[in-house]
Amino acid sequence: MSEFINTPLFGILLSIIAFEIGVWINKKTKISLLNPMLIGIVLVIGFLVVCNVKYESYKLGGDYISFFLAPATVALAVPLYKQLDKLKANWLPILVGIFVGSVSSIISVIVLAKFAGISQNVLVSITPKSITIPMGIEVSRLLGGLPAITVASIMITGITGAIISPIVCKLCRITDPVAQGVATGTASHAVGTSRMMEIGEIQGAMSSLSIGVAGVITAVLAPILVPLFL
Amino acid sequence: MRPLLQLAIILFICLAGEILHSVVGIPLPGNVLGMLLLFLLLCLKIVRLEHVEEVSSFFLKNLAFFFLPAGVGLLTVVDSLRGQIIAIFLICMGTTAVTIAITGHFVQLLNKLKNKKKERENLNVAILDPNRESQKCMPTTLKVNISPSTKS
Repeated sequence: MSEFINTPLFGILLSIIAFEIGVWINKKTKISLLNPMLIGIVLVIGFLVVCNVKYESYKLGGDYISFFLAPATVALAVPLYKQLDKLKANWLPILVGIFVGSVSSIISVIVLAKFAGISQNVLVSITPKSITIPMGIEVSRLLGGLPAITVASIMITGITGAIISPIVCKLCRITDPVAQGVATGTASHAVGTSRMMEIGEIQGAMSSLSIGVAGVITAVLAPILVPLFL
Repeated sequence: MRPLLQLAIILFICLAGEILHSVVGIPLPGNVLGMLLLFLLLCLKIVRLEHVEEVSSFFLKNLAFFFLPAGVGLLTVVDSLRGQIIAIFLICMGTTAVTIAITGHFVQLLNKLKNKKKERENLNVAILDPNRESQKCMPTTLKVNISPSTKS
């Protein structure tokens, strides 16, 4: 058994099975909170803990899956290109919106973290939580944060965004598909975008565009805004 | 184009993105640079949609799945953050909702303002044009003038 667990096959198969169970549950219940990715993560973590399997054994296969995040991110250019007209027609509201969103993300994190009495090195680590992992790690390092916490906060944010974005849009009466996409991509990077892809092509394209732009804006603004509040 | 070749094109663009990041020194992650590069190549029609479409749609349809291992990675930091992990969870979740609400409303508002402005411009054109013609024929233009402005 341990020979099987210590091959990449274990992590890959466990991930696929857990995700597919998530897809099945999501289809049966139609509850957006029961998102396939969230169920998959919970099931894998549960399996590892219950069966007492080391994370490192899972990671052997998990790394193969994570490798494909790079080409998957590149592929986001395709819906963006297909929505070129929409982008040309709305470029100013989109850019201003991403800027406002990035600023409100940074400031709300700092204010809430100070309020909650979070220690300073954790605070700067979670400041770039709305941007994509490779960029977030760089920003965190620049601010003197701990990359592991940054990755954790980025994943929590992404999963949250993927689940609550359609709910927030409904509650706040955000009906414009461009606005939905920009909001989700700015707040919750590629993980939120994965959800927007399922909702519609315009939402997905605008969300993928926002990932990079929000990343750049945050990388520039975070080092300026953070010292103002500390 | 065959899927394997499509995959090769995308992986090649990934590589180019990494090179732009680490060799040329552009301070954006390789995968984001790769996305911009593919976008540019599609716009310039150097890469055609059919060169990458099938493989891209496979990736995009399953995008959430590829994040699963990163999410499982949360397991490794839980211990080191004991005491603060709940606060971090709540902060990340709360601020995400706030950011989505603010950004979404802002973009929607700007779009509405822009569309109104456009409508007004269109109206102006509609009013101006018949006016020019009105020198030739009076009665029909009156109708054209009134109907769009009363609507708004």
